[in-house]
Amino acid sequence: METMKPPMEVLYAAQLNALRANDTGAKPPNWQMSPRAVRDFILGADKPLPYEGEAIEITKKFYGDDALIERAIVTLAGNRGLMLVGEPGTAKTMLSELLSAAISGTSTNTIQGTAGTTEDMIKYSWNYAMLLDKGPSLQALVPSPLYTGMNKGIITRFEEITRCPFEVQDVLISILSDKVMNIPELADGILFAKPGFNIIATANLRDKGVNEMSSALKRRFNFETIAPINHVKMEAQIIESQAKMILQRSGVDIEIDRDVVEILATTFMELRTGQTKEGYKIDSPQSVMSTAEAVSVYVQSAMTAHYYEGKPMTMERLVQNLQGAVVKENQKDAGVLKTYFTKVVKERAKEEGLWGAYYNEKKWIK
Amino acid sequence: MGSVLQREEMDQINRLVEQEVYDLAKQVVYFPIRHHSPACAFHLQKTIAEYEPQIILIEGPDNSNHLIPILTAEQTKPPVSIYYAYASGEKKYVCYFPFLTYSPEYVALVEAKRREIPAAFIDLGYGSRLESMEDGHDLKKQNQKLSYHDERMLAGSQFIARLCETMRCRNFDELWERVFEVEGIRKPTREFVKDVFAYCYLSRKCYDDATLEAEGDLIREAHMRQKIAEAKAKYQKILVVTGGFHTYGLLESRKTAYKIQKVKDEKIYPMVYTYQEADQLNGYASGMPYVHYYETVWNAMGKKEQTPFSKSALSYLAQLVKRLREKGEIVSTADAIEAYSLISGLAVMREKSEGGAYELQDSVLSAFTKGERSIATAKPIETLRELMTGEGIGEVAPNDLDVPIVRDFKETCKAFKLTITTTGRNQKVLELYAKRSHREASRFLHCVHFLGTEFCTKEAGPDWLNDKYVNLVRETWRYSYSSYVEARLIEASVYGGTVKEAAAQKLEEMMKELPQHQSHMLAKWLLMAVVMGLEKLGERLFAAVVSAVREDGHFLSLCKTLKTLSILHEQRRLFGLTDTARLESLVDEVYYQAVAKISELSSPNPDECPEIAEQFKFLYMISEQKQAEASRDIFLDQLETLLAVPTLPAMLEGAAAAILCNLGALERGEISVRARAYMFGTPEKMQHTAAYLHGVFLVGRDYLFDDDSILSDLNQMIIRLDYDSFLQLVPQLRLAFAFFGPMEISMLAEKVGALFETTAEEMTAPAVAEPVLQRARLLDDRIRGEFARWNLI
Repeated sequence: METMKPPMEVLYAAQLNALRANDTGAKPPNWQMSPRAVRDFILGADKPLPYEGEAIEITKKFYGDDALIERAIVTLAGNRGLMLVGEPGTAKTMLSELLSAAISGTSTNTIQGTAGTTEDMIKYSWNYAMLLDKGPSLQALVPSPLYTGMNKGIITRFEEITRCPFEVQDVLISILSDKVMNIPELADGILFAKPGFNIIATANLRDKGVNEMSSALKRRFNFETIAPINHVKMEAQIIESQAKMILQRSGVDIEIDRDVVEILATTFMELRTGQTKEGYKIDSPQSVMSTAEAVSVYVQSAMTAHYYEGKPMTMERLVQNLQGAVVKENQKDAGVLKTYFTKVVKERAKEEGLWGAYYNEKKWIK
Repeated sequence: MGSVLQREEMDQINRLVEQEVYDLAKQVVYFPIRHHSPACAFHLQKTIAEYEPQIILIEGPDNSNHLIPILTAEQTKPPVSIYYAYASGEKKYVCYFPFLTYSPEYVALVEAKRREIPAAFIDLGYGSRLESMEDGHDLKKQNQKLSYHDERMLAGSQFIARLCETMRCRNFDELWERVFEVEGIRKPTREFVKDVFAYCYLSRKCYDDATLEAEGDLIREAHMRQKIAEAKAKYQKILVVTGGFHTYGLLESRKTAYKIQKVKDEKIYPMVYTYQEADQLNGYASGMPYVHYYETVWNAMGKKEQTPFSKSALSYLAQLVKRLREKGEIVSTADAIEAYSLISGLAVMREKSEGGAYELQDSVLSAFTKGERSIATAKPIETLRELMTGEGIGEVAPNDLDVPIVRDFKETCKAFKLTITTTGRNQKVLELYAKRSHREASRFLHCVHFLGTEFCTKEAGPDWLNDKYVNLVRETWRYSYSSYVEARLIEASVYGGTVKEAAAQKLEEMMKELPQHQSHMLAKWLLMAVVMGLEKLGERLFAAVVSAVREDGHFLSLCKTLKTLSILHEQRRLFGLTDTARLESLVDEVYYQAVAKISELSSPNPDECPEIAEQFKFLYMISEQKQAEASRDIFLDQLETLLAVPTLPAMLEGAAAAILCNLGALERGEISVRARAYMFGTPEKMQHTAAYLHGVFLVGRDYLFDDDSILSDLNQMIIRLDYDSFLQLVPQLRLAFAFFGPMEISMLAEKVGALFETTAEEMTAPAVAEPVLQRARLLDDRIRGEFARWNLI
């Protein structure tokens, strides 16, 4: 079946198979591969692996702190859950999907946390027709992803945990420490977690509308902070590959313009860090200048240019979408972006190729 | 690691190790080391036991061999170091050769002593080494903290960078720990030596001869080769312990013609060292980081622990939890348990037999951080790093080379209960007036500060020299001890044997460069000497001030001298001055000298006018305190003479007139008469009004309240001024009125209000906003219109 966004275990099925086939390391109980193979799946391997007569290259899927990945994997083999925190758009969700796809073979056993998440969405609910008909029974119980994770000994992903109300988050506390879920409605209603069960939660600690986590819950997780990428070349590489994938899936088959990507990556990084590559201090906008946001700016611009102008990309569209990405909540951010153009872009427009065309579209920033 | 290397190269290395480096049947055995590596020390110990050498030769300056007995004495407790300093022309060079308990060099020295065999340093002396290099070499940069060990060549090669990448290590140190420390201690000594040699050999191959020559490596190796050759004539079994980078250089049969550049007066002292400074992270690439952590590992190895790294990690986690609780952080034992299991998990994943320093840090980062990584959550990892570095200071056994000033310093610190056994920052609050011992401690700290040791800084307290905060009764000092302080003391030892002597001598040398006729600077030095408690120098300085005052013809300088001497006189009890009569007579003398210069000030440098006016006021205050009529009379005479000068600057005129009025020599009305002369004079004169008033108000602000005419005249003048002239005058006027306090300002406001028949409140009320006015006017017009329509108006 064609899907908009295939899960990681489907997208990288060949690589996962090759890694499993060649894995000689010791596996924690119920893991599909050894911690070392999980690391190679995420950080890439030096040599292609043979699988069914083919040499499968294991690509690097996460750019940044390699030691962080190692820590995350070892954490998941232990007693505590893994909490991925960081600014929006730093690939927390992608990392959690990659980890669960490699460890448990599925990345879809997921609770999607919202302000409306209730306790029964986390633990279990009932098929009421069956409940009324037959009374409480295992058949009438509708398991949650957490229940499934404990029952099967696989990873449960909990997205946006801080968006859930405080009291709902706390359901996890005793489950994480005792690894057991009580179902008082059933006669022998105790669900013991199978080995291999763990939780990867992603959380945003800074956005509006997030709830603070209790200290008790924090104690049951190991925290890993994913920092934005601070390397223009690396960021450009990610923008390029991500944009290419999204555009292809949307049926827009165009070449990615590397020079434009580099300009975009530079702009995002400079605005995010508040410093130009020459070392001058500039103002940072309040909006989140994440890599994901940069990808979306590129994709949007490429699509509009493709459908309306019949070109792969125009600077006009790029600047229009940049304006949309930067100026969201606070009108002052428009000023920040404008100053960036008059100070930094203008200076570069004198010498470096495409920057001139970029500067000429300054009129769109309002 | 064989896989990384080409087979032929590995063969060549194997051959070298088997036949030349580590053949225990040979006359010379070379043991390659990395500085501060416990694994190297561990295998070195084994080698010494097996080989039983007759002498151990060590890479280290051969002009410090006489220090070996001191370094290995029982009372010496590492970290210690040898301090080298020498001057070449204008430049001064300083470097340290640090030893930790587990430094292979130190272990070699200790083993040699235990076995009662000689040990000797065989490298070039520090001075000779530097002199053989070209000017402008990095190592020759002045005033840098340098270590005798320099590892840039070893850790910086391209070969190592590639290897780090391949082996997924973050840096050279992690790579080293993984291959040589954790795995190294589990290997047979021969294998270990082979690995170290291979690494260093390949790193060395990344540099061409020209670089090695420019870095001074070739000369040093030639020198070491010669020393080894000399030993060969006397001993049958020689063990040579050098940095692995040099081992191959010692084997080469290269003939390097070299001449030792003799250096005169190179200073060599044994001194204490700190963990902080020994930690590579604190500056220079000169050995392994996390010194205290590796010391714990070394101690565990000494106890024959099978897993010394895990044992150390355990002890560190326990210490960390304790330390964090002391700091008020909420941590639980569960965090430590989680961290400990993470360490072994990470070690398995990274294919290490045990988790080392990097796994320990990674695990603490994961298990102890509660929340997003930021300054707020960084305490655990920061505390861990502090613990891993360590904060102790070593101890050097008492010896003849002990520098007297350092001994004096330490004894005095002890007497004043200043902590110098750890490197942390300490605070000392001194109650200057209440306790005699505190006054003495203050003098001592001032001396130490003056010597530029960076031991202490005064955070709060009276600043006599600049006449600031003199109302404070306590001094707060912050101090911390380090080997840097000790090194600075050793440098200061040229000035004298005790802290006090050195301070006195240094001050005296500074004085020599001062022009004689500047009495105020000398007076300042005198005050400084007194603050530092240097009585003898104080005597000499006092005499110098006396003669300088007589030669000093400068009014301002004399006034400043007078001010400084007055402070001395006022605080005579605090400073412990005994001969006050002499001081009093000097104060009198300076007063007369200064006052006598007043009449000569008729056309001073315009820039100096405000200061001169200030000094008039100061002299006026002093003259009020004087009992003798005569002293006041001369002051009056001088001021009157000055005031008679028609071209006298307005500010001085104001100040002089106000003082004379105060002293009753002038009618009070004269102030406003003179003011009027300016205000209603020619436009040019009018511009000086502010300066005149400034002078008057400096001495007495009450004139403005006594005599309303000044204010009304001023008002008249301002009304008559055109816009540009007004703008020109405003800044000076503001300055003139800057002396008034809040109370006086409100009185002034009332007076000004009275001039305009309004009140102060009304004047200070915020102005009505323009739109409100407009609205009111509109309303007014409408009502008028409406009234007109009804024929009411």
